[in-house]
Amino acid sequence: MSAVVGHCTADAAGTVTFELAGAREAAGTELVLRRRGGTTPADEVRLPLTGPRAVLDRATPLAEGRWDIVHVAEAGDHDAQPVRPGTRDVRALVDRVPGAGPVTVRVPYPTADGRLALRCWVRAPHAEAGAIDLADGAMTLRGVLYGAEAGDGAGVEARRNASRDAGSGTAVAPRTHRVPLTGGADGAFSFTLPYEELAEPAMTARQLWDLWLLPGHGADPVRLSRILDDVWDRKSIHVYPAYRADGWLAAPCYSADNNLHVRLDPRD
Amino acid sequence: MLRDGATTAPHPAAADGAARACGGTGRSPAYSRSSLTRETSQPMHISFLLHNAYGVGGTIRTTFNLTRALAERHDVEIVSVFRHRDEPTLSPPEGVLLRHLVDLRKNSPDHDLGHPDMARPATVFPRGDGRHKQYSRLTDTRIAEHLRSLSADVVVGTRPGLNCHIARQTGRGPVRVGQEHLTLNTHSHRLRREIAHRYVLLDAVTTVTEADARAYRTRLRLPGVRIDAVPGSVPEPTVAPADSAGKWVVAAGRLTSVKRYDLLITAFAKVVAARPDWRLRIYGAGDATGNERDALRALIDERGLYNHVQLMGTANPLEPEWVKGSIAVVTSSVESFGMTIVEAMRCGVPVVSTDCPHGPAEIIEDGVDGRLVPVGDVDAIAGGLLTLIEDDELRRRTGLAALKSSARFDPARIAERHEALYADLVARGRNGGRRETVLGTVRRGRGLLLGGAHTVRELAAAAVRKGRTA
Repeated sequence: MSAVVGHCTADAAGTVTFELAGAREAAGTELVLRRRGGTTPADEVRLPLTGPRAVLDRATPLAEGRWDIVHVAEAGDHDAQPVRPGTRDVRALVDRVPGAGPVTVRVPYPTADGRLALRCWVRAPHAEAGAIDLADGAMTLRGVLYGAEAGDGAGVEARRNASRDAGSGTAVAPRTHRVPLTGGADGAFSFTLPYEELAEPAMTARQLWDLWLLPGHGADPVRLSRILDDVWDRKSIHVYPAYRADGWLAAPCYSADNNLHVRLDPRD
Repeated sequence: MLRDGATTAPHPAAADGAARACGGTGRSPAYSRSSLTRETSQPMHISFLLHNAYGVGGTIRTTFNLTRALAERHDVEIVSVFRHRDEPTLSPPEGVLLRHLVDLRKNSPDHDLGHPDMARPATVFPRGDGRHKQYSRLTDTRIAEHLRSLSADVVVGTRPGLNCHIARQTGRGPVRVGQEHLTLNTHSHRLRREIAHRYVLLDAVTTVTEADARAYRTRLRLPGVRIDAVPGSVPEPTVAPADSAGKWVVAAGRLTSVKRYDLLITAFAKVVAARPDWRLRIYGAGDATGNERDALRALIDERGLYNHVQLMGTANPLEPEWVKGSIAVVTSSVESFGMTIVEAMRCGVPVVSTDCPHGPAEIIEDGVDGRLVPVGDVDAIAGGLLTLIEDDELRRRTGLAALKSSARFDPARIAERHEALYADLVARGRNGGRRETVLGTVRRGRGLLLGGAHTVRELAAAAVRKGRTA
C-alpha cells in the first residue's frame, strides 16, 4: 500500500491544491487525475509537483464524473501509486454560491476503499435543489436556477423510465408527469409535486422518478440536483420521511450522484 | 519545538498540574524546569503497554501523541499486546519502537492463531476489564515474559487490565505507572475491586481529570501510590481555525445513548424555531455498545428537521469538519475526559457542552471560552446555542478564547507533565526513597495479612464498598 497521503484544500472557484506527505522515498514528479471510465485524452490530467505540492487550477477543464488521483514517481512512469486521503479542507465549498458561467464543482473525497478522488460536476444551466417541505402527500421544493431563466410555461417534469418490474416481471411503461414552476428573484424557484399523481394501484416494486426543470417552451430540460456544497454523495445524508398512502409509500431522495428523485415503494 | 502556546500562561483550571510540570521560566520550551532535579536531564527508557496499537481509538491516538512527544528526548517503545495488521491504522509516532506480543495476522509466518493457549481464558488479565474475552492464557504468559525481562526505567499501562499485569508481573527496576483513560466510576464493581487490590503495587496512577483523581484518592486505599491528573492531548490542527461566519453547529462522536444526541435534536428544534437559518451536522457512527442512528433519524423526521439536521456518518480526521462549523456542541451524560471538546476548541470553535462528569468543566471556562449547561436540560442546551448564535461578536470572541486556552492541551505540554512525573518517580527510586520503602511495606504487610483474618483482597473490596456509599 502506498504511504503517500494527499492533503488538499479546495476553494469556491474550483481550484484544488494538493500537498503530498509521507512520500519521502518517492518524492514524485506528477499527480495524475484520471476520470473513471474515461477513454479519451481529455480524461487524463497531469499536474506537475513542485516539491510536495500540485495545483489543479479552476481554468483546467475537468469533465463531470469521478476522477481517481494517482501519484507518479518518475516522469512517464506508468506504475502510478494511489494517494491516501489526508486532511481535506473543503470548508469553502459549504453553502457555496457559484459565480457567472457554467456551474463547476470539484469535491475531493475519500473512496470507500481508502483512496483520494475528486468528484466533479459541470452544469450549464444548473438547477440546485434546496429545502424540501413535506405536507399533505406532496413535496414542495425550493431551489435556485443558474445559467437560465424560467419563463412562461416553466415547469418540472417527473419522469419514469421504461423498466421491468422486478416483482411481477411485467414491463413498466415510461411515464411523465408535469407540474407548474413558480419563479422568484435571482433564479429562485419552487414547485409542488403531489405524489398521488405518480402512484399507481397494485404497485409491486420500487419506482424511481427523475426530476427535470423545464425553463420554458422549447428550452432544454435541466436535471434537478444538489451539488453546491462539500457532500459528494448525499444518498444517505439528506434523507426524507416517506408519505404513507393506501398501498404505497413515497419520498424524495438523492442518488449517490446527488440527483434528486421521487421514490415510490409498494406498501405491504 | 517552540510553539506560541508553549510560552503562554497556563489556564487557571490547569494551573495546579501545569505549574508542577512547567515550573520553569518558559525561556527554552520543554527542559528548563527549575523544579526538576538534574536527574530529569537524563534520557529515560520508557515502555508503554497497549492493547492493540494497530487499531483505532482514543487511547491509541493519545498514546501515539504522548510517545511521539516523549521520543524527542527519551528512548520510547510501545509494546502492543495484539497485532492484527501489518501497518498501524493511525499514523504511528516517529522515533518510537513498536513491537507486539501476540500476532493475529493470518498471512504472518509467526502468527499465533490456533495456539492452544489462546482458547484458555486469561487468569492474570482481570475478568472485570471489558477486553477480557480477547485475552487468554497465551497473553498471560507473553505479557509476563515481557514484563519480567523488561529493563526500562518506566513501564506504563494504558488500561486497567494491563495495569494489573504491570502491578503483578513487572520485575524489579522499572517504575510502574498505570494510566486510567476512562474513570473509576464507570468501571464495573468487579473491576473496581480488582483495581483496589492490584494498584497498591503501582508507583503511580494517572487519570485524565482532577475529578477522577479525587475519586481514586478518596474511594480507594492506595497507600504510597501517587495519583496525578494529566489531561489528554490534542495536537495543533493542520487546518486554519474556523472563522465563525458559517451558520452551522457541529457535533461529533459515536452514535450511542451516552452522547444524548436525542436531547441535542430536540434542543435544535428550539434553535430552528428561533433561527431557521442555522443548521446542525452530527458526525459519527454506532459502535459495539449500540447504534442510535435509526432512532435519531426517526426523531429528526418526527420533529420535521430534515432540512436542518444531517447525520453525516464518520469522518477522519475531524479537524476539517469542525472548521466548517461556528459552534460545536456536546450533550453527553458522561465524558471521561472530553477529547472532542478540546479538538473543536483547538480549531477555534467555541463549544456548548453539558456540565457532565468528568471532563467538560476542567476544559471549558463557562462564559469565557465556551458554555457549560446543565446535564439533560433541553432548554438550557438550546439557550446555550442561541446565546452564541444571536451574538456574532460573542461567538467570534469565544472562539478566539477557545483557540488560545486549548493550547494547554498540546502534546508537547502534556508530555512534559508525564515526563516530570516519571522523572520524579525514577529519581526517588534511585535514591532508595519512597517507592522501595512503600513496596517493601506493602509486600511485608501483605504476607502478614494473608496469614491473618483478612486478605488484602477483602480489605480492598471493603474499601471499595465504603467508597461507594460515601
